[in-house]
Order: sequence, then structure tokens, then C-alpha cells
Amino acid sequence: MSDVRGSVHPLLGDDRRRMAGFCIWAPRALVALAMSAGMLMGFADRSGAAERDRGAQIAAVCASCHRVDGRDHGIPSIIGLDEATLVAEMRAFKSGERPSQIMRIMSLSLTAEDFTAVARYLAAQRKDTNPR
Amino acid sequence: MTDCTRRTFGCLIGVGCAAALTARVARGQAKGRVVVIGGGVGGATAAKYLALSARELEITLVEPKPRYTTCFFSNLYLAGLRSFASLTHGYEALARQYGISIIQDSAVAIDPGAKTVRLESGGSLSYDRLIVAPGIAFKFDAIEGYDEAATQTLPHAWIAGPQTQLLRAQLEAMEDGVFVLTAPPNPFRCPPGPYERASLIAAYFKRFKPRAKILILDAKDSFFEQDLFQDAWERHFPDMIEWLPGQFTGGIKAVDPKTRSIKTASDSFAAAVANVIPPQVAALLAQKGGLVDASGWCPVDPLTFESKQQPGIHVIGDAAMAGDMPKSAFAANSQAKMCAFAVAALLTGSQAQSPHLFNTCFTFLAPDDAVSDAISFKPGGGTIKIGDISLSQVGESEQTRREAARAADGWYDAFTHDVFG
Repeated sequence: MSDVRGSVHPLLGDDRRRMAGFCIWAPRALVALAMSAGMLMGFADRSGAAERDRGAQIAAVCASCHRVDGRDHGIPSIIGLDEATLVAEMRAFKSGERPSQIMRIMSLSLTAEDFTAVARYLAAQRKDTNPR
Repeated sequence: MTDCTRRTFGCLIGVGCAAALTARVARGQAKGRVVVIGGGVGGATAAKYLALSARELEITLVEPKPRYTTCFFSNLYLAGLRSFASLTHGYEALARQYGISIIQDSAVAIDPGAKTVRLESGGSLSYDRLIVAPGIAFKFDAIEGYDEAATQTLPHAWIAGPQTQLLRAQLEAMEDGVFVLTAPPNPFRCPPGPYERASLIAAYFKRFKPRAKILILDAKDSFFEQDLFQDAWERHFPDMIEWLPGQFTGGIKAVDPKTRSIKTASDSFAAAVANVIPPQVAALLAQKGGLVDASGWCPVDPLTFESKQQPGIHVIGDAAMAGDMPKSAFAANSQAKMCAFAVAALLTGSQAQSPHLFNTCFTFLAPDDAVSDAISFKPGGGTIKIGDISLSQVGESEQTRREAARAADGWYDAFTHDVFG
């Protein structure tokens, strides 16, 4: 149970990740309240949802090779990097400056706007999903 | 609400906390019910990403087996380089962390009119959208003498599980002689798979049974990344592996399990151990559900993976005919995510973004010599076409290949975590 916060999936909507905190720390009544409110709004319904959804859906592609709980068992973690670093890395893969068969193909399929959306999305995961 | 409070209480006493996070809405409040048939890579990924993208859906995953054994990386197990347990994954996290209902049962029939799935146990499930990821079946009539019973002597080991363990046991018990592998016609699950299997079993033989030989009888005249494999076979296992194309043998015609012999149009080969990988079609449920066309596979919409034959039913993974996408676990995972986003959008009004479809493949040519390939795909003209492609080349440095072998292990860990974790 001690690692519950770390086990919350970073691709969950904000409301659910906030509830991860509630679940551990808040009194029962608060949890029930938070849950009933949280249930009514999926992350797609909130404001600013379009870019976030775009970032989340591209991040889902990343998750096929990169663990999104911040652990690294041979493929580098992409959680915990800031937005600018992530965008710079993706650009370097796309230009071929940083060689990688797989990352070149991934980055070629993404636009500059995609880079920003996914980098912003991944960078936002740091604090609440990987509290080490 | 009652249901919710009860689960929340469970959280506070330290049981099922994660389940409380993702507790699905109480019955009757759901915006939609999605049933996913098949707990392989495609089905498990679809269920998980539906749960992640739309909280207000009720998601049920139907799978008869309590645990799933991955076919990918099972060649490492056959070569003694990985444990069977390391290939096996349960559904606990999908249930606990994502609130998915796991039903351990077989789906035996689909009624697209009533939108119900009938289960072997006699029960029935209603759905608003159905996702079918049933995998492959074998064309047992294609090779004379190769039926269900023959698989107990001449394993296919192409659906991982007891068949994989049987083949490993036969290889361990084998003394000198020839290991015969028959490779199927296109399309089939995992295009480099049969040849990777030959490579890794050769590595096992080289170490433990140096006089043993490997004969590949192919239904085809060429195979995926043939130059890479043949280069590696010459470098690592000279004179151990022989590959005979279909045009040379006239094709694989019959087997005799009693004598472990394989007959081609022109010859008969006696095997010490034989691995018969038969021609393949979409699994039986897809056939019975009216989802397959004359090809034996399921035609789908390239954006939503909705069946072109049965509206409201989506097909992903090996059973789907997804244009240029290969039948691989990675492709199934990629399709499952796009399908999940599309289904969530259809049921909740959320927005599915432009699809990103990929295949990445780590292939072992020898235990320390692996290659990684990547392909992106684009929907267009009613099908899915290759976008960009990057394939490994003959002559890459030893270091590159060793690094790919190490990356492959890291990939397996991350990928199975993405699907089941």
C-alpha cells in the first residue's frame, strides 16, 4: 500500500490523480464527495481538453516502450523531464542528429504541435505521479 | 452511490484502494457499456485505455484463461534464455487499478441485433459497443494429418502456453538429428517469428547439442528480413540451419505424427523434433460472428477499427485485416489504443485525435545479436498504409546489435506493463 501514489497511472485524468491523494489522506466523507464529483467529469470534458487529449493520446504511444511510472528497466524513463528538454529531444530524433531507428520513425510522424502537446502532457506528470 | 461509498470504505481500511480510484459508475449511470472479448495484448490494452480515457464507461473483459502467456519472447524461453513464468501475466491490475470487470469465461456467440454476447457458462452480456480481439486460429485442414491431436506430438507453439512448454520439453529431450520447422504462408502472426525461433534454437543447439541440425520448410519463397537472418545464420551457426523455399519443395503437404515425418510435394523429411506452424485465419468467434470475409480475416475501418461487416463491433489485433500493419503484439497494442479512443469518443462525445499507428519489432538473430525495426502507418483510402519505415541492415556493428538485445529486454518489461500493469 505504501506505493499506491506511485502506482497511479500518469495517463489518468487530473481528477483521478487528485483523488489518489484524497484516497490516502482525506476522511471518508471527503473521499465520497470527491468521488461523486469526479465521476461526473472525465478529463475530456474539462476546459483546455483538446490539447491535453492530444498530448494524452500521443503519450499513450510512448507508453508502448517507456514505462510511465518513472521506472527504467532498459528503456529510458520520459517522466520527470521538463517540456523544453522533451521537445529538444524529439527534434533531435526527427532531424537524425540523435540516432535511433525507433525514435526517428516516431518523431517523423509527429508535428511541432504534437511535440508541444505530448511534452507538456508528460512534463505535467512529474509531481503527482512520481513523488520521490 | 451506495456502491461507490462501499468501495470508498474499502479504500480507507486499506483494501482495494486503487480500485476506489477508478471505481466505475454505479449501474444505470454509465454512458455506455463496452464488452471486450479476448484478454491478449489487443483486448487487455483496449480495456485499459478505455478505462483511462472515459471514466463513465462500464467495461467488461471476457477471457477464459486466468493468465496470459505472451507469444512474443517465447522463442527466448524455447532456447532456455528466459523462464516461462516471466512470459506470463495476470489481470489483477486491470481489475484493481482500472475498475475493469474481468469475466473468466469464453464468448461463444455474438448477437449483433440484440447487442449481446453469449458466454459458455450460459450467461449473456449486453453491450453498446463490442471490441473483439480473439487472435488467430489454425487451418487444420490445410496440411493432411495435422489436426488438434497431432499438435500433441508436433507442437505449433504459435499460441503460447502448454504448446510452448511441450516444444521446449521435446527440444531438451532431443539427441542428435534434425529439428524441422514448417513456416506458414502469408499472412500469419509475427512475420519474423519462425526465423527468430530457428535462430535462438540454433543458439541452444550450438551450446548443448552441437551435432543437431535445423531444417526450415517454408510455404513461401522469401521471408521478412531474410538477408538479416541469413547473414546471422552464416556468422553464428554455419552449416546448422537450412532453409528450403516453397518453390523448391512444392510446399508442405502432409505430416505423420507417428513417425514425426513431414511430407512436401517432392520429398519426405524425418524429424527428431518437429514444429509445425500451420496456415492461419481469424479465430473461430470472428468466423461465427460474421466478422471475416473470404480471406479468413476481419476487414475494418482504418480509423475506428469498426468491422466493415458488423456495425457496432470493432476488431483489433491479429484477427483484423488492417492494411499494411503486420500481425504483431505491438500492432495490436497500437490498434487497441486508437480503437479505445474512438469508442470512447463515440460513446461519450469526447474527441478522438488523429490516429498514430506504429509497429516496433525487436528480433533476436542470436542471444547477443538483435535488431530493432520501426514502421509508422497512416490511414488512407479505406485502408492503412506504411508511412515511414526504418529496418535494420546487414553489417551493423556488434555493439549496435548488443545494445538492441539489451533494449529488447527493457522493451518487454515496459510493454507488458503497458498492457497488463
